[in-house]
Amino acid sequence: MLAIARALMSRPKLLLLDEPSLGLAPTIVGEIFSIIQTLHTTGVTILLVEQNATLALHHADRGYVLEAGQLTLSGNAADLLNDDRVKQAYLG
Amino acid sequence: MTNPPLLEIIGLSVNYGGIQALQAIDLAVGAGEVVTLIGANGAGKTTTLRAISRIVTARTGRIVYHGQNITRRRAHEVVKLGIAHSPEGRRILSRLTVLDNLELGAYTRRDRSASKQTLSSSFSPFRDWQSDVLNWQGR
Repeated sequence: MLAIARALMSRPKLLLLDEPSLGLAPTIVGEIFSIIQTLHTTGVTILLVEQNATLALHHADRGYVLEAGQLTLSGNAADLLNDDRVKQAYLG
Repeated sequence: MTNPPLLEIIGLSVNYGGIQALQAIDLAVGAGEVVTLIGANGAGKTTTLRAISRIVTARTGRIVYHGQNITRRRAHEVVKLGIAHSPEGRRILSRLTVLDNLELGAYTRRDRSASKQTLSSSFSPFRDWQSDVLNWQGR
């Protein structure tokens, strides 16, 4: 949370978030994602990198899938959540 | 994407030594959007963010933010233009106080007087412990 708040101190228009949920307890992860939602409603644009693809896609408008340095898929988050390739590879 | 892109990446490649971390990726983020980048470890997600905030240098390709080419800008200039990076592993400076860490986030800003206001607005998403932290200001 401090890391996100520190980033907000420059009053950014675009916030790059790298694995904000990594290593955190599930309740804190929930809080982090509700903060992301709040930031979104205040108009901050967010590019979110996440290991937890399900969680990320549930909170994003769109998504991109990277494989070995190349973009292999992109689309609306809802479509990616239902994409068989994404399901198989990232959603367990 | 319905909004005009705030950030546009065109044909971005990044190398680490002989290893190609990113191979000609194209990506766009519209103003006000939340866009996620997913993929396995080592797929290049972090490298993409590091290229945008100019911690690593693009081998080829362009990064355009707000209509400006920032591919060769320096990292602090990118922060000034309005891009902030919350890095992997969070990189909190643990020998510094919470407040010092926050003030570092405002390092590129000239309007020091406004930072106090930002301090409270940066914390507004974290209502539950905002007052606790701001009370530590006495140090």
